[in-house]
Parts: sequence; structure tokens; C-alpha cells
Amino acid sequence: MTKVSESEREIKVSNQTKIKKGKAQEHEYSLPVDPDALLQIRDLSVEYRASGAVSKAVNNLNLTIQKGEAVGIVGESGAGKTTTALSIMQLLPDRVGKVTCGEILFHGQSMADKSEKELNQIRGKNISMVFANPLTSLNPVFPVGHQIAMSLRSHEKISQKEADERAAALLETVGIARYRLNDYPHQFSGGMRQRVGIAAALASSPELLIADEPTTALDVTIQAQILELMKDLQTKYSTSLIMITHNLGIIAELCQKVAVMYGGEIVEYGSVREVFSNPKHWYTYGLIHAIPKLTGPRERLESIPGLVANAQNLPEGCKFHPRCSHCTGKCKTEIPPMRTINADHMVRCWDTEA
Amino acid sequence: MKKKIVKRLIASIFVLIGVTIISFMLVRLGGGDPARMMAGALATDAEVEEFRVRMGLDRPYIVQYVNYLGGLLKGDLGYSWSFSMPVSQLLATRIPQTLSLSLFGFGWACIFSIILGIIAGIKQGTVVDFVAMFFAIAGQSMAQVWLGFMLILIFSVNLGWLPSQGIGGFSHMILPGLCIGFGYAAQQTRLMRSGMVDVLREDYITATRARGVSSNKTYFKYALKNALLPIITNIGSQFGRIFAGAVVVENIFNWPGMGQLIITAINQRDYQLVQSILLVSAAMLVFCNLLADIVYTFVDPRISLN
Amino acid sequence: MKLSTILRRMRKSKMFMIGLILLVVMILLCATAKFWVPCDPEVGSLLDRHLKPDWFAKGLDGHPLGTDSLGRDILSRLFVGGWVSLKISFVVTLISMFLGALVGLVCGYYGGVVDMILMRICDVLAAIPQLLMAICIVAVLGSGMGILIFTLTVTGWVNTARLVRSAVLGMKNKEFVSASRVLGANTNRILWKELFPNTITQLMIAASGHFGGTILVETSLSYLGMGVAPPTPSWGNMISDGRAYLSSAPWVVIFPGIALALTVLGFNFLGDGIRDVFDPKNID
Repeated sequence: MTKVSESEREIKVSNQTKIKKGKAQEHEYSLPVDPDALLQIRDLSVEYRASGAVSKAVNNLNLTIQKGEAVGIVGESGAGKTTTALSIMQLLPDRVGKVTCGEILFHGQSMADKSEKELNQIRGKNISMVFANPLTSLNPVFPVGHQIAMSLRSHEKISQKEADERAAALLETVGIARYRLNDYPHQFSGGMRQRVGIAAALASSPELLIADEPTTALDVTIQAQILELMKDLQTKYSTSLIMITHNLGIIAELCQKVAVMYGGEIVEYGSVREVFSNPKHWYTYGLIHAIPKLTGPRERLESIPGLVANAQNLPEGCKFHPRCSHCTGKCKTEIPPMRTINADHMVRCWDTEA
Repeated sequence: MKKKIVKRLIASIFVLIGVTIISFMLVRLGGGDPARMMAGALATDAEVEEFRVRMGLDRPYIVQYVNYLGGLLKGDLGYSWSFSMPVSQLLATRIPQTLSLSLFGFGWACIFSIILGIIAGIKQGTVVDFVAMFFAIAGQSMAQVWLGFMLILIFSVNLGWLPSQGIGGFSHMILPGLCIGFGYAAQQTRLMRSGMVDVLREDYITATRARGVSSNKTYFKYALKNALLPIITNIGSQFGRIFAGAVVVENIFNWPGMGQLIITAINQRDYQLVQSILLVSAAMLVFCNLLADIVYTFVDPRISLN
Repeated sequence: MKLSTILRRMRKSKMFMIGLILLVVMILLCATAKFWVPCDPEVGSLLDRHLKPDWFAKGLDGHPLGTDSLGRDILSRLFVGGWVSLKISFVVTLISMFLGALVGLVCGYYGGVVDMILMRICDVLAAIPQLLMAICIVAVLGSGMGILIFTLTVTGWVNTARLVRSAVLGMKNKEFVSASRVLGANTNRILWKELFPNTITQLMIAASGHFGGTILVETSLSYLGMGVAPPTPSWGNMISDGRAYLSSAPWVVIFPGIALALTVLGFNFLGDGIRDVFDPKNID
């Protein structure tokens, strides 16, 4: 994360700055552009609009990924993680999803300004994605080899033979026998399908891999295998990684940095060590302490009371305040800004003594 | 998989045998004296009796039925007394007319509905989609018989562009072809559109875009192949119905095919002709369904490989 | 779902409302036709043959929709005939649905030999196109309202049976039936209390489609002279009446078709609307 002084940050950030429709108003970004960053998300807000209801999925999100860095995004379902991922790829559902504010810079260039052709160049090659549900993310009527080679064929002029060869090699990398190249997705188990998905995402050696809950639909032993695979690949190819999950253990295994999301916002950010050993946001605290411990005296599991924030009906002020046991009057009305605790740790909370 | 196909074929044959039983019974229930009718109004009683014995009409029904089946296997569909020629010969002149009309009507409707459905599905919510859905719903609500006359009214009577009666060159086929395929076009447009919409919502389509595949390729290769699967089955079941719907269309446009034939046959109590027409129509329906199912098993990888 | 939820979703669904309104208007007009139509639908004066429609210029005293070749008032025939067609379709649909649902339930639940035999019968019946079969039956049994209803029913119940059967087969294996069994419910109870309600929505949608389809087949039959017999009007035989004078008096053919299209349209919209209203995936 960029080193900006606390005072500067507090001047620039007020409550949400909205871009008014139709008026070419200059949006005041809360953070400056980081020229070295691979990917920088600035003040991103995304809404879903369907049959009259507006769902504020992402609210004023700021995130920077450096080259070779592995960042985890953790949060419950509905926190806006997948939406963020799709926004990076510019793949929000056509009429329904809309970016209402902010920008996404890849290598310093705004993704929204790019043409369809340019985006297709980037997708699969520079940035690629592994999807959450292996049972639905592969096309049932095309062989897996073909699907793995999709990005190869979209970005390079290669012959069928060469595409097959490279796809077979990728299959082996993810631990599936070569001869299964022409088999169809339904002939594989969930874990194997997920591995196919990973192979397809890695086919063109992307600079940034976004993994959206890659192991959620799998059982524990398979999970371990996949994680080993991803760790392997990270060290081999130094791919930057955004790991989206609600499993803290996975983040601890794979990532250097972690961002905790709630209600479409990042509420805590920092190195994994810092955030997990010393959580400053009550939500993070709740998440960590909700994990049952295998050792030590048996304690009652702490759970976070209340329900996950509803994107269609977000609370005023701090989005977590209805569930927070340390909520104050200020929390209910004003959105807390991101506050720096130290070089490795930032939190969005009014409570300074957490 | 071959086992499956053979099984279906055998089942189809049994179905057709069932059809022959029904049509045989139906026709025999008609009352009246078939021997008298066939022998002619001027025949004497003795001649009618002689005719009855000669034609085997005095035998018990079961025997008659078995003889009938036996004849079928030899390709003998019986004798049409009202047209004074073997049924098979008569049908040989008429089936091609109905078949050509059906194929033409079916052909344009199939292609048109697939294209319109795809576009409507891709551009869901836009004007194109609205027009397509309007066509789909309205088209299925119109009576074929009324549509036929409206077409004649507009294109034949008022504009004078196209002939409305009989056979004689391609221009004669246009109006009846339009009429016969219209309902099917409407129905399949709807099916194609909703199939496309459903497929485009799937995760694997987003995943395809995420790998850098252009939107055109995504739509027309990766989405379409999935969306076309139910269309194959639909084609199988609808073609048979078009063939049958020819009855009304041929009546309106005076098209000399099987549809017209069956009306005449019924009015004349020409049993063997009626039986055979029913059988041929049913056979066509069964055959189309079977063919569509076979094609489907080859095309959908989830089914062909066990 | 609660009744209040259902009603609310009904009001919200445009499809449902349009279909409902179309049908209510049409059914009301036809059902009450006897009382308000200006002329006798079966008798006309030859002096008045082929009068052009005067579009309510003289109110109901004139012939708002014109007259046919026998001088009969089209407007009167339209709605009286409409009621005839609607009544027939209603009875046919009711019986077909009931018969089909019964067969489907039995086949789906009991399976085995019963299923096999009944399904083979369905296959054979389905192999003969409905219109052809209907023509043959009418030719054999003669014309008449009862026979017409019988014919349309016999040729139309197969689809419902298949639909219900596959729904039952699908549900039989679902978890909640096993759960019910574990609680000790006997077979019949499972059948009536749990499987049937879940199929009702599909049946309703199928019924509205069936209604529309039956009217169309009846129209074709009447057109061919094998349905409703003259002088009783029916939209189908009105069209065949007007055939010979298509160029000089097109209105005789045009109006029945429009009325028919509007009615079937109403049923189609209603069916779609029902799908919208009862689809559990539509959250509001």
C-alpha cells in the first residue's frame, strides 16, 4: 500500500464522493496513483440494478496490488468480493451491473477506457480468473483441452496441434493425466474440474491471477492439494495473486497481505501477520475468534451477532455498526475513514483503542 | 450406444403397430357396409356378396387385421376404391406434394426462428427482443386457417402479387408455405431466445469472456452450441406436426397433397386409404422424433459417452 | 405461498394482468352474448346479405361488424359462437387435465407394468397427429357436441399425462418424500398431500396452454365442417362460411380470426403470467 501520511489522507477523504450523473465533475480520489503498482483500484463503487431494486455491492473500494504480491480478500458472502473481481475484468453483467464511481488502473492505465479489443487482449493473458463453482464454470459441450487452450488461441496464432500440446502440458502441471485432454467436463470430479479451471487461467502465464473461492466447493483434502498447487505456481512464475475466500486459513497459507471486506468496503488491511495477530476492526476480530481452536481450554465460540449487511439496504455511517458491540453515536452517522496504524496495518473504524 | 438406438427403433415399430391397430379399429367402427360401398351403388346384392368374399371382408376382424399387417410388410397398402388405384400408387403421387410444402414451410421457419431467437437472446431487453417476443406470442395465437386467408387477402386479392390456389411453380408455394410454418416459427423463436438467455447467464460464459474470447465468438460458438441442443429435439417433434397440419393448409390453398386426400377419403368412406394416410402421418412423426433423438445423442457429449 | 403474496405478485406481473383482462372481457362478452346481441345469430334476411360493417355508426341497431352471406349479423354470431367455442374448450380442458393428471400420477408413482402399458398407449396416441385423429373419429362417430368434446379430449390428454408423470418421477426421488416416509406416512398420503400440490403450478400453466390449443383445434375442425355444425356459429365455421366471398366480403373471415387470436393470446399471457407469479426464484 502506498505510504501516504495520515494527515494527507484525512484531508482528502470525507464521506463518499459521488459522481453526479451527466455532470463532468472531477472526482476527488482519496489516494494518488501509484506508478509502480500492477493493479490499482481507486474509489470503486459498483451497483446492481434489477427490477427497481438497487444493490450497492461495492462502496468506495481502494486496493493496490504490486508485482508478485499475493493479497487475500476475505469476507462473508455478499460482501462484494466477486463483484470486485468481475469489475477488474470488466465483466460485470451487461445491463444489471454498473460502476458508479472510481476507476481501475492496470499498469497505470484505466481499464474502463480500453476498447473491447484491448480488453480481450488483457483478459486471459495479463489478468485471468479462476471461478468459484467448478461444476458450472466449464462449458459442458467442449472438451477440457479445448477450454484450457482458449486463451492461447485468443492471444496467439497457434496451430491446433500446438494448442493441444500446450494444453496437455498444462493438464500435467495441475496433476491430471495428459490422455484426458479430449474428455468432457462431466467426466471429471469437482476437484479435477477446478484444476482444469486453474490450468485454463494459467495457460497464458498471466501477470495477475484472481482466484474467486477456488476451493469452497471442494472437500478438505482436495483443498489442500489445490493450495499446494497454487503455492507452487506462485513461486515458479511469480504471478501476482488476488485470493478471494471466506477461509482465513487459506489466506494465512498463501498471502502476504490481506484485505477484510464488509458491506462492499475494505474495513481492515495490512500484512497477514499484523492483521491476524492483532485485528483492529471488530469485524475482523469477530471472524478470527469465530474459528474454533484445536488446542487450549474449551471456550464458547464467539459469533458475530446479527445478519450480514444487505446490499440493498445498507446502514448509515459505519456499515458494521448494527452488529458491533462497541458502537458509538458517531459510528451510526459517519463513515469512518481509513486510518493508518503502522506501515503494515490500516483500519476503517472510529474506535482508536481497539 | 448402438443398443440404445436399436431399442428405440424397436419401440418405434411397436408404436406404429399400435397405430395400425387404432386406425384399423377406427375405420371399421364407421358403420355402413364397406363391401357395398366398394362394389358401387349399382351393384346387385349378389354382386356385393361376391365382392365381400373376394375382398375378404367376411372374415373375422382379427384375420382381416393380420392380412392387413402381412400386406404392409410386403409394401401393399391396400386398394383405394374411390380413386380406383392401389393406395401406394396414389400416395406416391400425393406425398411428394405435401412433403415439399412441409419442407419449404419448415425450412424457412426453422432458419428464421433460430436467427431471430439468437439475436433476441443476445440483445435481451432491447427493441429487437420485444419485437421477437411479440411475434413469438402473437404467432402462436393465430389460427392457421385464419392466417391462410389473411395471407390470401393481402397478397393475392389486394396486392395481386402471389397466386393463392393450386400448384405450379415456386410462386404457388410461397403463401401456403408461409402459412404452414408460421406457428412453428413463432414457437421456436421463443424457445431459441429463452435458451440463449439462459445459456448467456451461465458461469462458463463469463469464464469464456475472462479468457479473452471475443464476444462474437462467445455468442456464436460457445453459447450457441449449448442453446441449440433443445432446438434439435424441438425440430424433431414439430416437423411431424407440420406435416399433419397440412390438412388445413392444403384445403385453403387447394394444394393437391395428402391433407386434401384424407378429407376426400373420409367423405368417401375409403377405408384403406384413410388407414394408410394415418399410418404414414404417424410414421413420419415417429421417424422425425427418432431421428432428432439420434442426432441429439451424437451432439451432446454428456449423453453419447456413458 | 400466502394468498396475499400471490395476489401481490399477480398485480405486479404485467403478463398476468393483460392476460387476465383480455380473458375476462372476452369471456364476459361471450357468456352474456345471449342477452345483449342485437340479432338472432342463426337467422338472417337474405335482403341483408354481405352488408359492410358500419362500426357502431348506428349503435347496436345496425350491423357493427357487417353481415354474412345469409344476412346474419356478424357481431351476434361472433360472440354467441365464441361462447360455444369457449364452453367446449373449457369442458375439454377440464376433463383432459383431470384424466392426464390421474394417469400421470399413477404412472409416475407406481411405475412398473402399469407405467409401461399406459405410457405405450400414450406413445401410440401421440404418434397420430391430433387433427387427423380428430377428423377420423368425427367421421366415424358423426358430429355433435358430445362427440366433439369426446374427440378433443381423447386426442389431447397425453401431454398432460407425460408432464405430470415426469414431475412425479422427479419429485419421488427428492429428499422430502423420503423424509415423509420416515415419519410414517403411507403411500396414498404422500401422493395426495405432498406430490400433488407441487405439480399444481405446472398444471395451471399447462391448462392455459391447453385451453388455447383446444380452441385452435376446434376451429380447424369446425372449418373443415367436422366440428360445430351450422347453423350454430363457431369461429371456425364462420371462417369457412366467409371463404367463398373472401374478396368481396372479407370481414366475415377477418373478425372471427381476430376474436380467436385475442382469446388465445389471453390464455398465453395468462400462462406466462402464472409462471411469473409462482416461480419461487422470482423474489420481490
